[in-house]
Amino acid sequence: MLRKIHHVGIAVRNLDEALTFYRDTLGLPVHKTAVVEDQGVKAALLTIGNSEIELLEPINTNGGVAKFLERRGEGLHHICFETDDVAAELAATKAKGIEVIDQAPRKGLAGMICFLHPRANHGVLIEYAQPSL
Amino acid sequence: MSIARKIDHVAIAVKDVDAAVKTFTENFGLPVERRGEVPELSMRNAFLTIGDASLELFQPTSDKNPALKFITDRGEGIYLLSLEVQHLTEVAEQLGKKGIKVAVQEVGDRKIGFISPKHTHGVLLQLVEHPK
Repeated sequence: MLRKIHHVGIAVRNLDEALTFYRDTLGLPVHKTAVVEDQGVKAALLTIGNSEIELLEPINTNGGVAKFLERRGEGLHHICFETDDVAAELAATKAKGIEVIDQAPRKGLAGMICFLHPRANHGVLIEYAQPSL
Repeated sequence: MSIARKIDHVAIAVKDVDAAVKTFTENFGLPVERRGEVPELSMRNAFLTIGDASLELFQPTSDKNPALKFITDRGEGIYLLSLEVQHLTEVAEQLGKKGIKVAVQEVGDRKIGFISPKHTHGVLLQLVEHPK
């Protein structure tokens, strides 16, 4: 079951510059920052209510976020839904014939995560996340 | 101190709202909260509940709605992030002092304002105040 929006991901060119708006102007507290090598990003998670805003800056030119920036420029990148069982959620999604990017959950900034294909959801890149305890 | 309390909704621009409602209800089991037509904003829309927030699926119905051009240029996708604030007029004043203009308007029983993507790193950011 999908419980809530875990976070909304925003692709930015420069994380520090983006923080001056989201952290300093909006006043959202930074909950976590990290480099996620296999996604090719440096990220910050900022708390908003029960959810978060995730700012993503590419650290190389190969990752999905780098390609997104090249094609579209900065902006809203993906929506992440929180689940208590990402493996079960992904299995159910695949059983419905919905196209996915990750065939199995993997470790991400928000816990165990996986991405579905935007083609399957009207151009929206959807992530599932099961936060680590 | 945070200006915004929570994510109110994420709006997704689509070509056909009925098809999109079918996709998002079937794929994710999200319940439809309400749906309708908003002639003054040239759109048909539906709100689906996810936790304490919503996904808004909306179909622009004329070129008066800038999302029609968005869909033509880059296809369907995430269009806008809406954050809930407690007192929009005060927030708009506070942001104005920092050089960020927010024009407050009333739509139905809500007050809304937009922050230009040039301040937000490409995000069309809406601020909304719901009636008490």
